[in-house]
Amino acid sequence: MDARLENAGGGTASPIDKSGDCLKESAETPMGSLSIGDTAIISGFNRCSPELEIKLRQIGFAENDEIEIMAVGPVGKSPVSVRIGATLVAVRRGEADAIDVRRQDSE
Amino acid sequence: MTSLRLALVGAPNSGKTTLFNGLTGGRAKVANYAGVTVEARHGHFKSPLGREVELIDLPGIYGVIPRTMDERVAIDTLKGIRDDADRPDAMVVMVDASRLKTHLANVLQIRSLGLPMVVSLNLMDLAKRDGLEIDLNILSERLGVPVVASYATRQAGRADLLQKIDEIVANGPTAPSQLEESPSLRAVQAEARAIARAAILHDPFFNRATRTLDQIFLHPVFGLLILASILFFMFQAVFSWSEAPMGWIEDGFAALGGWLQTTLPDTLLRDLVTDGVIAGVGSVLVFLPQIIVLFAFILALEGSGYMARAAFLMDELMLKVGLNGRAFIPLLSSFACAIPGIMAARTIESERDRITTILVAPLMTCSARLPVYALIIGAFIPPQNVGPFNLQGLVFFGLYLAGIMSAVFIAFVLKRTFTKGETQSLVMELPSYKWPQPRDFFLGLWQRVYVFIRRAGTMIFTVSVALWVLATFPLSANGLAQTYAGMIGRLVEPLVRPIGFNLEIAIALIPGFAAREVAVGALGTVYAISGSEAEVEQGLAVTLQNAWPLPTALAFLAWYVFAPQCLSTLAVAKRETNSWTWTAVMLGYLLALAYITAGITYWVSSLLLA
Repeated sequence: MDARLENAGGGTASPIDKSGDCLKESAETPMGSLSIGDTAIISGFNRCSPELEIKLRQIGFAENDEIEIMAVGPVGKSPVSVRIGATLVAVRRGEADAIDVRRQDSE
Repeated sequence: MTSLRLALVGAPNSGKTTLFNGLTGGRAKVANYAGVTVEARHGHFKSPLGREVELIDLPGIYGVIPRTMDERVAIDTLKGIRDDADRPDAMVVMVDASRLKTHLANVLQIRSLGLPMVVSLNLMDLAKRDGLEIDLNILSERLGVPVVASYATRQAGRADLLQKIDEIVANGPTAPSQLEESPSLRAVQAEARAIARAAILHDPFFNRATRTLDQIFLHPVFGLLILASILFFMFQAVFSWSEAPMGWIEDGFAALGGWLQTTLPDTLLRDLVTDGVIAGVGSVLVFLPQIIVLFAFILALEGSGYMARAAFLMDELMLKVGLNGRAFIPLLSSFACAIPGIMAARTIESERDRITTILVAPLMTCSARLPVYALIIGAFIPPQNVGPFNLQGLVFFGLYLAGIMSAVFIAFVLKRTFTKGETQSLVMELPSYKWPQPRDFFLGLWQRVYVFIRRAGTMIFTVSVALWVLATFPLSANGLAQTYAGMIGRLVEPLVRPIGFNLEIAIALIPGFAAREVAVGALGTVYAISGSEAEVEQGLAVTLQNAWPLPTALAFLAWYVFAPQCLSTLAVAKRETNSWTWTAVMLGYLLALAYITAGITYWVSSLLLA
């Protein structure tokens, strides 16, 4: 795993490990597969890109946060506008797939 | 006693600039341009106890792992590892209260930098209105640092903040402690969420206004239509709203010139003042109203939170042509001036996307080209209506469109040749909608206007006088061609003759390299000297109507769509790319496009009009 995930302060970068469990079939739903209006709970980050995981965490995505898909872009339904609490974050659909979520039952 | 160095730190859009302007009165040391804050601005104020404080407005950061160049500047400054900036003594960490839950992890990371700090929970009034309740005492206790509330528009809360700053001052700037050994990002987030749960007593549902507005502005169909309408309206407004004030300025300068002509004795000095200074500076200053309108739009779009939505809508389209949604803001800023646009490109994470953006930024029609377009369109395009639109406005829009289309084309070519590589991520926060702060808006507008006026007063003044001298001497010259300016122009003329340019244009193009709008002042000076008194009094537009055939005018417009660089843009491009090669590529392709397009325009329109 990337050292910076372990050490958010002054840590040094280690080579990115590409042999992680990136391709492992997961029971989780990738966030990129949700549609407008869907809500879900973040269960984790898949380990395909530690770089991307850092960016996503820095801007506010964290385990157990509730998210809601607010809007999608006009071309190819990308980017996706995701609400985390009162914060709105735009990510491309492919980047959204780096986040695993558990769907919430719609009431 | 030396002054306390206090850094303003926080995520983008957390209200740092408003606080900076509020505390310092907006007097900043570093010139800043339209678009996002990319330079650290320095200002001064006195604390209530009379301590001199130097306030540093750092670029916005998320946490302490930099993603972009400007985040690196901010974080390295706070760590005290930059050669060009002293480490601040203390920090004010700004957090938008409504986004506390998500941004608290960043506060914890910033705390780990080991500087004394005060957390300022900003926009508490708006958050309270939405029903958010935060216990500041719990928050302060759990964070172990003072927390104060501050408000969007009112002074209230600033007093609290100043008091805390004075407390830091009273204790003396504590020796910067060692960087804390930081736990993992995941653990920091977990701790932040736990603190948030304890301190946030009531968390309302998401702001309804932003939800509703996003349903409209980010709608796949209406959103794009609204974006296109806003841009179209903006360019129409630049022309129509400024028409009347431009007339007043023009009349004012004409009256001043006429008055001086009759009062001053007939000497060379009089000619210098009327033909050199007034004709040159006046013909550029007349475009001030248009520049004010353009910057007003850009600042309002920026301040309202709409600019990020525009980037959202454009991202996928821009990806297809080899750019990046984040490039939208730098490119839109480039409509004001390519220099802040190129600097704003620092917010683009990918080096290749950044270079591509820098290279195409000059194709966005900057405000310095306004005077050129406005002069030629005013002189050669009839002001009739086409349907509901003004024909002059349409041509104007067409020229902007030509610049945009060529940027798309160039980016497409670059992405497949020079700047090949993987596309980087977007991951961008969409700020909530708000009314732009009048104070920030007018201060921002004034800073831009001031830069323009100062240029008219210094560079354009100097160039006008120099050109007048070159175009007047030697006194024995019989006609413009025999003056010094004419001699230089005659060297260039053979090169531009094939694209329909005459001697006067050749002369004006040379100082036009210093800054694009100088070309207009130069034309003003050249024609003021060579034309008759009667013509001069009617203004430059009328003079050009008589002197230029239509194909020449159109070719001149086409040339300025690409207008090889003003020197300052090239200098900034060199600084930001840190490469002479990229700078040369930029100059080369712009020159080639300008020459070829002007040539085609001249020959095709000559054939059609024949």
